[in-house]
Amino acid sequence: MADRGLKISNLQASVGGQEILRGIELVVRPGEVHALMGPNGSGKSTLAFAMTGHPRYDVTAGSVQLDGDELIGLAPEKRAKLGLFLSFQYPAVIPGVSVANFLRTARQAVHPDDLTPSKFRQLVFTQIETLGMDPSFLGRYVNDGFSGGEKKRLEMLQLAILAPKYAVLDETDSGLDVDSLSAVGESVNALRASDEGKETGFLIITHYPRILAHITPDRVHVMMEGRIVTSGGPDLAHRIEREGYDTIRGEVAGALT
Amino acid sequence: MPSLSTPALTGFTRENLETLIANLAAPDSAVRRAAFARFESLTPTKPASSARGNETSTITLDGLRPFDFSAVRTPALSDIPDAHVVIIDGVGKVRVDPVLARLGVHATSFRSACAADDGALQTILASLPIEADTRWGSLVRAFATDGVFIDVPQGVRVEVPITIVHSARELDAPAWTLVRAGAGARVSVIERINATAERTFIGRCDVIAELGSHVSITVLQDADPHATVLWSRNSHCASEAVIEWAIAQLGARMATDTLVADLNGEGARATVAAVFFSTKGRFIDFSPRIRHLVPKTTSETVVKSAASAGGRGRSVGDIVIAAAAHGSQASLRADALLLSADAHLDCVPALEIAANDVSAFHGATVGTLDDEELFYAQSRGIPRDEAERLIALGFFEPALARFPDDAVRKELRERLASLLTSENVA
Repeated sequence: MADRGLKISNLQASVGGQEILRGIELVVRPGEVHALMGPNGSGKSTLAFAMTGHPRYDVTAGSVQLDGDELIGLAPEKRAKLGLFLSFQYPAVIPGVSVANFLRTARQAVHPDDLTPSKFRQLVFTQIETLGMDPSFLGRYVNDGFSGGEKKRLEMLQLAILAPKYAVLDETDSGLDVDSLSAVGESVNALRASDEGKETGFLIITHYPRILAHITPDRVHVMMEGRIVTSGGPDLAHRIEREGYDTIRGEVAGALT
Repeated sequence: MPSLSTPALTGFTRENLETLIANLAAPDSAVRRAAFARFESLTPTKPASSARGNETSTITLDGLRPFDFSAVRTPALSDIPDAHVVIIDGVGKVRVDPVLARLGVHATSFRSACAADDGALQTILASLPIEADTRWGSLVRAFATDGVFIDVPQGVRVEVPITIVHSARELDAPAWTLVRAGAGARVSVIERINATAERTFIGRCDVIAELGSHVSITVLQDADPHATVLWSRNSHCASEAVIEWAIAQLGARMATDTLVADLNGEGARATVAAVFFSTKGRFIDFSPRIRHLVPKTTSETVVKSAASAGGRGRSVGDIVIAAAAHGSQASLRADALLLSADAHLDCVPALEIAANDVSAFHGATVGTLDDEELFYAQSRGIPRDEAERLIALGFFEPALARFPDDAVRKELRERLASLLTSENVA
């Protein structure tokens, strides 16, 4: 199955007429974990939004294929149905819509009628326990009045409920305390260990390597000025932690011009 | 009872009022005449120049048929299950509820109450001053042939909602609901209003909540999209009494609902939750006015309105805190959601505060669906139209959650979901 994978080829995108992505090349195979690191403003979140079809982000060239299906040009919900998931850095608040209703609607949209109501309920409560959440969470409105940690846990709950083929976690670790970060790591690892999620590929966007202590990446990529400038194994993340991005910026200066 | 040989009345005119009085052999003829005089005094002499098809003064009352003496019917309860009192085309039918009877609760029609001749209905009606009536309230007082009377004795708590139905099917007979809760009593009333196409349905609802009582009135108006529904509501709250108004205006070509909730006794409380949805050129106006007349009264008002496909609407909310009403607290929130570019909603909140030492809040928003919310839902696989419906339903939820009955909330959510189909939202 050579076609399988989330394949990003020469992806270029702009926001409000300003070019942000300048030709991204990246392949995430099923079951792999890739970390995408880079300083502020390097285009990491733009990549996430361009892949998922945010209307404010214009893809000007390139392609994103999910197991052979081209995503560019599709509506966001169609990308989700094909198996793409984005954990938002700043998830939207949807007043008046309960978490339970939202989860049920989303699961039904992505995996129609594949679970009985009782199985669905069981899945939700199992995941809530994994994430250390109170069941009363389900009755609250989506992200309405949530703390930063609660928002990220809800993102992880949705990840677990939707069990996508490929998940992009956009700075899921930002603003989390140690316990919340650990819960996020456990949730991702639990999904990876499950039948439904064992082949899920992850692209973890982060500034810092601390989340990578909980989720071991197969590959680490560094993004600067709209391009992936270098890639390596997990050691690359530790090197960034030790040396910062400036050393790498110096090494790849030629590629950035 | 009316003579069967008398022809149908056509028009809310003084002449027809006299015919009605003669046929009903009504002892309250002076009251009816005074009410009609008030109606005339409140009728604009010419339509407002700014009318945009939503000005009720443009409604022609001459062609309406308030009563047809030649075809007096007795409505059947069988097609309206679970209703305690049904008024169809101005004639009431009562389903006797042994539980209510045992508690001494009257849930009956005006005619039945008059026949029982215990004087309670007349006493309460006499306590409602004509000079406080709105234009439509005056017309109802002048022309009503029957109504719903609910009287809960002191200290009685009615656990199950009392359901009543006002229906205009072939006539434009006015509707009237009168609720009194005695001291310490508790009652919940669900008032359903429906009308067939082309009917103009005028009604009023009066509530008297005595000392420490708790009254909940839920209104579900779902008239035919070609009908006109014009309602006037009033409540009077004694000390420590609570009135909860929960009003859903979902149908009619034109619907206006004017609510005046008076807080007359210390510690009285009023809550108002209203939702309305206007589509396809319809117009809905819900205008609550909460009057804090004495100290330490509280009120909370939430109005959620939406419009699409040329639908129009208006919510003019007014909180009045009289000079004597120190220590009162009031909040008024009115939010409007526009689901298409040709929809129009006005939200006008107002505060009139004459007292010091009060807490009052008002706020209003008019907006469209949020693109980031839509994208978020779509990114979870939810199709755009379903995401719009989900988020729009969520918009109503802060008001829906205040409707006191689980079954009603479920019914309303389903009805709103059906209204929010692409057919209506396009």
